[in-house]
Amino acid sequence: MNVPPWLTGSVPFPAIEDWRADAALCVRQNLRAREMVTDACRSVVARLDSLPPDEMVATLLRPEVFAFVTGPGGEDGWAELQDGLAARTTRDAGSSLLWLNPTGQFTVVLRRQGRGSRRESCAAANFIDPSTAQFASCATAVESALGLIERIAPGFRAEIEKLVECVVLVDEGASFRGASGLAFRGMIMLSPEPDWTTCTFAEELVHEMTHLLLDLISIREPLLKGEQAFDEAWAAPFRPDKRPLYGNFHALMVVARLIHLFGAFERCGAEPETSWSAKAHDYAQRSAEALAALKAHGDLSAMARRLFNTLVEPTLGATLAAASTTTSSA
Amino acid sequence: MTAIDNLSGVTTGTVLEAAAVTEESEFRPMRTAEESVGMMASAEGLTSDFSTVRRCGSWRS
Repeated sequence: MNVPPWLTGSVPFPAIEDWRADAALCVRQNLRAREMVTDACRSVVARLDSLPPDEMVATLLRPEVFAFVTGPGGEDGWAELQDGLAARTTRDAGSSLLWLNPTGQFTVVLRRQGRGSRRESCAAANFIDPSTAQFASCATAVESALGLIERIAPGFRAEIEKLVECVVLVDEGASFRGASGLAFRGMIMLSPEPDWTTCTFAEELVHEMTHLLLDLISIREPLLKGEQAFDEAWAAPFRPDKRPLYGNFHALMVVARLIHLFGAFERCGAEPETSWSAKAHDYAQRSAEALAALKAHGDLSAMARRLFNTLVEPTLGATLAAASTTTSSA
Repeated sequence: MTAIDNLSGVTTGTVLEAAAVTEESEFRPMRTAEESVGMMASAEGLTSDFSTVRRCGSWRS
């Protein structure tokens, strides 16, 4: 399978600093276009303009900023943004990506999350208290997962460093296993289950990080064109409800990258009791219907077409073919 | 600086990696980081209103 190394976790996605700066430019221009009439507005903008370029880009890509630019804005929003930027200057757990105490606005964002693979809503969800044994156990597992990714897929680890601002832990009230989104861009929400292993955490991190990469690209270049891209009419790999082609493009990119991650798990002997090739086959087979629909009906942009042709189709095609060969020879 | 220099972790390119790097420009955005940062001080019009990504809400597995 001739897939470029940056799409398999060997090295990071190309020009990722350029993508970050370009997305930050979009955010900066969005802020500039908003009405600035209060001291809070002027203070935030003046502070951003005073930052060195790297720090300015990093600040503009923070989830607090995206919560503002994707929200209603207004005077209260500017004040909340000002408070958010002042409250957290960097990751607040040392070298870890874990954010110990998400501010109140993200509890609102969390509870707005709708249906996931577990339940219909997040109305009863809470961030896990960092003083609990549950949090400590999950924190250890996240660190182990980051270490594993670093060893076996250093390109994915480098992407996490550039794409993921923070990871937050959510209790069993979450509708999802993992979540990400433009309204909290840069943040990954994980709701771990007791049986999650180091490899499960690694899978979930790479899964959500791939959404973050595609969202970053999508800020400038839409991946799919046309209204039909948003029709919730198509079978999806993981969710029982019908999904739009746009969502399935994301899902197939996730599956393709996870198949390469599973290959790395197998090669390094991680969790030898797990058949990673069988899991890859399972994911590819779940994706077959969505792959066919996207191929037949998706109006892909130039970038999406490159990603589809270079990563998605070769990876899923080879995995499905391998499964077919195994079945026919059994 | 060559394309390979830009890819952290690549020290001794294999044939596959070297071939792939020649295609790297296909996966670049419209502007370099320097150009984007330079434009932040300008008053140019909006380059994105986030509409495409916003319509998709969030990703929940």
